[in-house]
Amino acid sequence: MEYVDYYKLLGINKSASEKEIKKAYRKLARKYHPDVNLNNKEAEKKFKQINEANEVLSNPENRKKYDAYGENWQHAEEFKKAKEQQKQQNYSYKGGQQTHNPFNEEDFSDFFSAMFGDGFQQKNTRRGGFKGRDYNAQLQLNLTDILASKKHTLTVNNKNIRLTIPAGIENRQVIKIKNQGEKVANGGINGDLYIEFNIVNNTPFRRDKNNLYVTVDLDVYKAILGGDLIITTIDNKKLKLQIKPETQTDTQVKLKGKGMPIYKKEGQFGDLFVKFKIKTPTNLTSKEKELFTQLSKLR
Amino acid sequence: MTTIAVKQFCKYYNIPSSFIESLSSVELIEIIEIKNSKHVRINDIQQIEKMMRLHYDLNVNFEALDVINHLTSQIHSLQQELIELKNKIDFYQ
Repeated sequence: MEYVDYYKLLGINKSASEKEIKKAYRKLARKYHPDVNLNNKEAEKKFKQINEANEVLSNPENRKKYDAYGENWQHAEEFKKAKEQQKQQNYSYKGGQQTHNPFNEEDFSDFFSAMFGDGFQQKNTRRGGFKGRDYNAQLQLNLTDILASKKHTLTVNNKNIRLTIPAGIENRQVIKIKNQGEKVANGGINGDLYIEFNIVNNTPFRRDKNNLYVTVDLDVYKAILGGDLIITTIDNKKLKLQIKPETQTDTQVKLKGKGMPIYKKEGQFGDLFVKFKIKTPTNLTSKEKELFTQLSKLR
Repeated sequence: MTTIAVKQFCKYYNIPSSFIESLSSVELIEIIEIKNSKHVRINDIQQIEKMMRLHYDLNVNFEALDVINHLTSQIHSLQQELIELKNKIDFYQ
């Protein structure tokens, strides 16, 4: 746990007035506010840090204690006790007032918790009924996990959330789960949970939206004379393909409806494109070489 | 179309109705008259909440809210395009 220099965070000096603190905070908050930094985790982290700095420095009593203990935050135990007492005294005064703390305890640094305690309540009272903060989570799945809609259980902030992930979800797609973000008391609206999907492709198939692409080896004899070729689809089914005589390398065939399931369109699938790479034989015997020589003379 | 009365909305969020009117004046939301009563669309609530946070938390004025709204929509569509392009790169890698 490291000492956090709140003055440095806000870019102000230790003699800054309340007005200067507020001005510095507002300037940084405008820059890093989550509403103006879409899906920017770095900005979110920075926003939490400057909020913490503001919480401490904009409260004259907290600031006094912070200045007094500063880097010797380990000795702040006495202050924590005093804070507890004060909290109890303030209880009756605050009764009935709608307050909303837009930050969870885990949003504060360990340094902050050690110095000011876990029961710390934000000074600013925002208007009651505000929406709780949205949470962001990431979920990694294999490409083969999304061939059918499946139920999954996620643990977010120590809470298990059951959800059905629709088949065919895109890599990096974000879905919103309503009301599973920050819980808000006093009639406010709970935040939402945003899940970003990281789809890992550990198959020989390449995906482009709903279509799949695969390259398969074709031996030279089958390419010239034609014949049957068994290929395996992404759902591990065997398909018999008829290879036309004189098939050229890089020839591509489309297998309709053998691609990825289309997101939220049950029973509909993309296509599978199979490209042939003709494999020439190696380690030829003298007999084979002789036959190929004869063949080449015929052309 | 599902709507909520401005009066009810403002009471719930504890904000003055002038806030909603100001949002409407810079065309960030639309106020709908239903039986002589002003309403906003349920679908606009998320947008209004965002504007409330920016206005009340960060002292952003209404003209600037319009600019922020425009720019964040642009960022959103660029992020979507970026996702599609990243997936395209994965395809060719």
